[in-house]
Amino acid sequence: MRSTLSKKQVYALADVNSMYASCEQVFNPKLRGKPIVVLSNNDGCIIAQSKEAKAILDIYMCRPWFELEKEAAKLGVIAMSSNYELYADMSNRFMDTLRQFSPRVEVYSIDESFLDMTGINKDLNVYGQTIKNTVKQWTGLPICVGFGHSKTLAKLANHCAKKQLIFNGVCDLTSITSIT
Amino acid sequence: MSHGGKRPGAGRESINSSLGEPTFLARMPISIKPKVVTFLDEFKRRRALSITQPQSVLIAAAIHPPLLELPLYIGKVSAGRTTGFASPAQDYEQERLDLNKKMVTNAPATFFYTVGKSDDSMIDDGIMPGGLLVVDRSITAKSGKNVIAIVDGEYVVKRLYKRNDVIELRSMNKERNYPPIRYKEGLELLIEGVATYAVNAL
Repeated sequence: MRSTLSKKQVYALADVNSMYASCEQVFNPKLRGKPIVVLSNNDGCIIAQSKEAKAILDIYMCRPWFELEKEAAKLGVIAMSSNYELYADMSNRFMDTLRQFSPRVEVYSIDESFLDMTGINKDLNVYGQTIKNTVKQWTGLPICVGFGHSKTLAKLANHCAKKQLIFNGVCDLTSITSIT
Repeated sequence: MSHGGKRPGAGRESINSSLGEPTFLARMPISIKPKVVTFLDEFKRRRALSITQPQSVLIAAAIHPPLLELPLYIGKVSAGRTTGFASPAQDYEQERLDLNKKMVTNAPATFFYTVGKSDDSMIDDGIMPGGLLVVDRSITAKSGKNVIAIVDGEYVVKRLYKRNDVIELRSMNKERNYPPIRYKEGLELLIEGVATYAVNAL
């Protein structure tokens, strides 16, 4: 049973939490732990928010900023214009850091990447924590990691890791045998 | 032998070590004492912090920097008074040096910081005002390393001191003798990375 399992494809999806907001927080310690939102070009709409901002504002992706501006100011939310050079640089650092954990890294977007984990004979929960902690130390970015037997399942696992605090940022769906 | 008058070494020290500059005595009404004491505590705290604030200007480290290889002359250059310059043609050296390779050993974890223009608190360690620091976040900060830390939301560069339960960020300037920042409950102290090189203009 074990041998057939190990031959199955295993993917990891590593995804930065609130990428743009986290990048801003890395370089400005005063923003850490504060509610911040990052706005699109010309400060049109909200394209990223820290979890502190998520908790107090009714935000959805690309919500127009003018709808929330007054309320946000009242709540002390800090709004920043986007700085894409910074995000691109941090994205490259994130991807480069991931390359040591898998021979095949597929960059999926500016803040997420699939890692082919097939044949990597390790406790994936532990390995996921190592990936998470290394990225945090090297780049300062907080990430979540999900493992699954397909890219879709890895993405789902990542979603669980993000939303369910009990996973501590790493969710391994391959360990749940009924899904396999 | 003379009598009376001031004896050398007697009396209070003219420079108070915790305030870092000459002080004077004054009488004040009891009613404002708490305010003055609070002010002085805050002054000391800020003094300790503001000494070293490399304004955290981010300069992006190139992830795949172009190579700039220059010949490395192996002949030693004497800084003493005896000889001049080793022969540049000595053995037709072929070894080449790329400063990126030498200073940036782990590109994704390397960040550059500039030291504040008036920041002289680390000059004994070769970190000069206005200099550039190469900081590697992937290196574990051990006692004795120069670290970039965040203290109450401000960047500082200091030498890390760890013994038993004592954690201190120490300045390295014998002349100015800045007080160390000692970690205690409630102080927000975060080590961001280890400074590996300082680049100073001469």
